[in-house]
Amino acid sequence: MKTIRETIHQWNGFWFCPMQLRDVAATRLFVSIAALTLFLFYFLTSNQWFGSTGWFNTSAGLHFAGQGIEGTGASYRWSILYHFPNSGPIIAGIGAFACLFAASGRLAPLGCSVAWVCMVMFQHRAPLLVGICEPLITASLLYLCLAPSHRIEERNQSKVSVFGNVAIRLVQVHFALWILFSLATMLSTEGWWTGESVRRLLADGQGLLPRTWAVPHVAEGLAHGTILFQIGILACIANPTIRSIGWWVVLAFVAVMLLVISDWLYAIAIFATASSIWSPPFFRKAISTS
Amino acid sequence: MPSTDKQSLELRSPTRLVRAIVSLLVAAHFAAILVTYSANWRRSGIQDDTLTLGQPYLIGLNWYVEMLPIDWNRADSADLEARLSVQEKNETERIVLLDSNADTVDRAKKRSLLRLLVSVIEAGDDDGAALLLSSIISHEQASATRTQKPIVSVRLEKLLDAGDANYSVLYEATVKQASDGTIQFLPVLEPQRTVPATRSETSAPAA
Repeated sequence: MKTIRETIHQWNGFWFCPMQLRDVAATRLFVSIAALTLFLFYFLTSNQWFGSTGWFNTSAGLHFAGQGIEGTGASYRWSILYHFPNSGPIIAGIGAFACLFAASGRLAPLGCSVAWVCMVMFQHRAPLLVGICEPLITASLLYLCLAPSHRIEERNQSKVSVFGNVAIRLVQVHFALWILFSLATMLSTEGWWTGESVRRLLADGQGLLPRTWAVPHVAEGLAHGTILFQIGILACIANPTIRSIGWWVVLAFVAVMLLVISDWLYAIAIFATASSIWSPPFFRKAISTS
Repeated sequence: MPSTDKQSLELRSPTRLVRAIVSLLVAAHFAAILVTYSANWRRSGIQDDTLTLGQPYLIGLNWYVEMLPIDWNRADSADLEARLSVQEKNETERIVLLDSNADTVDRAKKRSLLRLLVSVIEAGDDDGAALLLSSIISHEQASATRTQKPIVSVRLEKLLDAGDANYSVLYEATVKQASDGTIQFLPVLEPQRTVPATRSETSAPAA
């Protein structure tokens, strides 16, 4: 009985303790920067991809979203890009503008909401072409809609909020689930045990490493490192005694990812969502001296 | 972890009823996320039923993912090196439109598109393949960098095994373009088959 009470107490402490709004604003700043980068990418490429003569035009988009086929859930996908294929840069511009509001801490819930709506439109337009960074950023934006506005540079740093805490906890748990999802998927593939998946990516020249490095020993080392770093991130989240080194494990994971696939948007998304658990050391120093 | 003001816990915490409701919602939400993520590549009947039931929430709020390359790359058939090339009228050299070795800024999307194309052709989805090829060819013909010569044939090649040195032809077709802009593909390997590349635009898009 005591154990159940303790568990409930810990659960309530985790989810319903008020959190300093400065910490909430810091995470929101990083997530907004990640979203802003993604909107810049959409701004530059959306017409080339989703425009009326794009790589993936409206007819193809409707077909692969499952339009008209029962059970595909296509009717729940809402995106004005189906109706106005060339409106991508405008939507990206509005989203980027909303990110600036969210990052500044002024009207932050509204900024996050507008940015989320704009971002989902691109993902609903072509769900099968969604990249790995996009769901993580979109989820974080939606969670952060719950957190009240607050500017990092504001003088009153003792402001706290329960909603702010719930928002950050949601981002943290989602990030942990994401790493678990990534780790479990990799471990379910033989190529991640033998290093073949990494060797093939290196041979394709997808990462920062040159193609000549696509040799078994390098590939195996990077594959094992990727797996171990993800286990390390999860261990740091679960165990408070080693949590302080988590930021460096995240850094190592992102470094390996850049060497193998050099997905800069994913790197930014990982940093942004991990900042809900570990504020980057340089940032901590900067805000403590402000 | 960001710091919390535990001293004010009693004063600022929500009521027990609110806490119970929020806790239930949080638990249900993450259970749904867990089912969605675990069903990314393969799914059981129970997962499929659960996801179908939760579609309004999962798809409507964009939690749903499918075929997401979370593991960076999968060592399955669809991820073996592939390329899509076309041939212009009166030209002998082929132009590569999509290549799994692309190094452009949107290479992840190009790889996804190529993977999708390989998957639908291998699955025998003629309608999907024709729509996708039609979209790609229309894009290429509309691009400003291209010559005005029409595209007359399309070929999708891939490595059948990771150890292969040469590409094998997975799909090859002659491209027929009508004056109204519709594109048809006459597969070279199966000349009796003509895949229509048009789709009814009258059905309302998702809204």
